Amino acid sequence: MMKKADNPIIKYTVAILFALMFLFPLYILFNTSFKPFSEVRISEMWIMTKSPSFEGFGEAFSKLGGNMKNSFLMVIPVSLLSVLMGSVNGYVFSKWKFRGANVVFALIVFGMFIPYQSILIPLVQTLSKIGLYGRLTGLIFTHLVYGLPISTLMFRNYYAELPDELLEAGQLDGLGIWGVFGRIIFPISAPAMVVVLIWQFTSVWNDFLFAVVITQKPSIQPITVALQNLAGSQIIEWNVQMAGALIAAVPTLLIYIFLGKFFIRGLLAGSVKG
Amino acid sequence: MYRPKKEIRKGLLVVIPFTAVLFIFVYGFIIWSARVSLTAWDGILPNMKFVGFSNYLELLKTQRFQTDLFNTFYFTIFFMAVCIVVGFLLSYLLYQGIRGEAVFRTIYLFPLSLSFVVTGVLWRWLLSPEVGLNALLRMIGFSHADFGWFTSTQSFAKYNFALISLIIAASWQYSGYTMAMYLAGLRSIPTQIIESAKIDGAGEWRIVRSILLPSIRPITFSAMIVLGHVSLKIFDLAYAMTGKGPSFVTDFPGLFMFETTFRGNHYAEGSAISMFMLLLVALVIIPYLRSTFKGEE
Amino acid sequence: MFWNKTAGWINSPKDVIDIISYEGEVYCIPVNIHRANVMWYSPKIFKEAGLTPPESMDDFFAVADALKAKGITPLALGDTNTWPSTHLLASVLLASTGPDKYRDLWSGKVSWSDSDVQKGLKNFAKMMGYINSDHAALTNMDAAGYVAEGKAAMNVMGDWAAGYFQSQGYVQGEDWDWIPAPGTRGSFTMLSDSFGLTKNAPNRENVVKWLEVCASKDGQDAFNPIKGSIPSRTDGDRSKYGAYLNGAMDDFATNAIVPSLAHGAAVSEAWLTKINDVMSVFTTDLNVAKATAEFQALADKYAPK
Repeated sequence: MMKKADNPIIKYTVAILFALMFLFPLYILFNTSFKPFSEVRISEMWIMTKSPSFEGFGEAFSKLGGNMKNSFLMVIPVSLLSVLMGSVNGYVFSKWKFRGANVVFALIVFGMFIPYQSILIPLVQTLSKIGLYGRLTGLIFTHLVYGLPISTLMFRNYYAELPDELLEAGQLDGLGIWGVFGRIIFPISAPAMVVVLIWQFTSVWNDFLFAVVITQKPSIQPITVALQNLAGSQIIEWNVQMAGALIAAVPTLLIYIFLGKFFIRGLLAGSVKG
Repeated sequence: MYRPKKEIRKGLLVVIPFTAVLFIFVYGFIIWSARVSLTAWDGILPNMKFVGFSNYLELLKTQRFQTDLFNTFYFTIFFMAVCIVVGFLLSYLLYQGIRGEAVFRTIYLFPLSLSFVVTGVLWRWLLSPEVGLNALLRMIGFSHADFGWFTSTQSFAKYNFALISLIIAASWQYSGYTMAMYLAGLRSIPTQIIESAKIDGAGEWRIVRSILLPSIRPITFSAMIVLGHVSLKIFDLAYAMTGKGPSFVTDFPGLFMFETTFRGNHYAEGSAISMFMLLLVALVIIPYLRSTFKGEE
Repeated sequence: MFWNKTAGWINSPKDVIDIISYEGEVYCIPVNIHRANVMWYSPKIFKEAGLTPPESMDDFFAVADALKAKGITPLALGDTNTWPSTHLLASVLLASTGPDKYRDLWSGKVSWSDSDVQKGLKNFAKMMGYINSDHAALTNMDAAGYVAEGKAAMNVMGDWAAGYFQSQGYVQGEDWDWIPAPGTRGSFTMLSDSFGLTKNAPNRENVVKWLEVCASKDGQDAFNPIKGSIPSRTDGDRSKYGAYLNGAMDDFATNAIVPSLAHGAAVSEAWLTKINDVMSVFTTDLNVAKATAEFQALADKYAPK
């Protein structure tokens, strides 16, 4: 690690300046959230609230509480299952390459780059046919399918770094493909698991497009859609919006704050070379 | 390693169902979309009359789509550039060792946890020409702060200055990602190399140029792919922050597609736009995938 | 279809029935009516400047020039979502075409090169010289707010703005007041929230009951005072409605009723979204000839045959 003996002042100044740039939008978020509606005016965004009130939060919470639950109900199964599916898939594609495996893998990865708008209509039609349209399980299923490429990619890259000797040792003990996976590979998959978990949790929690298209009943909608719906069609209660946005951001924020270093560690462990 | 066919088959038993479903939901649907893009479907009721490529040609003639293509090009370049430069700068600062690294790192990373919708709403307020950042700057003495930000219809060589607002918001959100990638990469450089370079009398700038930058090149490349794919599909941010803008200065294919399909019911046109988007993405991703896999064989 | 049998209980003006019908059959029940051609203005600004709110488009430009000379923004516009400029255009067109020609424009019977329509388009282009510079960053609500805050003199917007003013504590007569949009007195541009019955509705009976409530006097009088709109029936209970709404109800009972362009009453969504696209460019380049050509092409494509 390099030591910058000269100019620690420059180093800290730059770091702090950037930190301020990253943080100052939060001022608007917090300031507006704590204003009563009568004070909310775009022309007064910088002006600190004169009578801070929890009005915005109260309103946002009573309206969004149920939707937050929906988001959790959706995100947790998706994250866990994505880890499972991704690790299994990534394992086969990294260590048990069959003929044409690379081509298939490339096609899988390409799937994560497609613009989702291009498949929305057939998606809805298909979900209807299998009875999953308009249901939270339909949304979960959708996220699992479209999350498969990135999960497979991350695990596959991670496993590719593992030396073959690890598996050979297991094979010598008479383990087959899944025996090796269960006994040897899976237990040491933690870094990749953390990355996939964090990535999926965040992107599924923040997803808007699939949620707004697939879930119609307000009682099932995740929080991202409910937040958008908080805005009346012609008039918007900004304090409620901002408070709602804060509430909606808390879970993912907490994940980044507490698991951020695992995220970087996981990237370090091999997913970096993408 | 020993890979008997029997074991491979067991592997395929699991992989095939997953992959098959994925392929239907990706490639099957894309084919459906492609088919619709060749029809005259314009309105709530489907109309599958075949019209060849006329939807595509019509699109290329419209002012909106032409602007979209230029916007995508410029936004992508600058968004990538800012994320990469800022990300590297921040990672370098942290790499040097700084007190409270965890705090700084969290601050730089946290915008990544927000949804583009939240970011869009925030920055729309911040860059609102009369009352946002301009007002703040005026309050502290810059009386000429009157750039229109995302309402500006000025441009240079088809580069709409309004895009700057989106570039700022998007980079604010994603620079943490490049920072994290670079930090991981920098930290994986063996310290012996650096030490011996220093012993040889290399100054800091020399070390950066000759050792650090080359070793993180694969990360830059990989980051460009991820950032590129975000920018080519951009929708939520533009939708929440600026809309298409006056004279489409902040319009993008993703936004155009959404509005024309789900508001205007112009299904064939929408499908044609999404086919164009797919093509753009393919142009960037396919060479990357090819080089990755060539490198492995 | 079903409705003609019970048509008696849709106690609405004939113009409204025309708008919600297709080929003689009623297809949806409007529970409320909002008015689009309203101009909100700041009594404070007008009083200080010694001017009166403009009744015609010519008056408007005279007033606007006077205000501009004093450094006051004459017209507030908040078109970040594009539709508010379409909303404004509709009123400006109505001013020069009058209600009959206006309706014919949307049925494709009148060409966009018609001299009255051209006058309207040119007026609109001229108006763009009198708006706030940050219009593309504001929503319609923000722009209406400018009037109540005294930052701009006038704003053309639907009557949900009244609801907004009241919730912000602004006082009618002091901070805000209204007249019909310049040149459109005598016309009532309507839009409405309405409910329909789909062909294979699974709960048909319940839907019918709901529609009966929507169409009933009690139902509409319960909903509308809170929503900030007026009933689609002509026999609403006046005492339940505030000052602005009573004024609107007076006009609704006597004016020529025309469908709103920007809010889906006059043209199909397909046509409207394309019109909004044209507006996005027209408000910036003010090129009337180009806009005329584009509007005409759209009318040719989407007007009912």
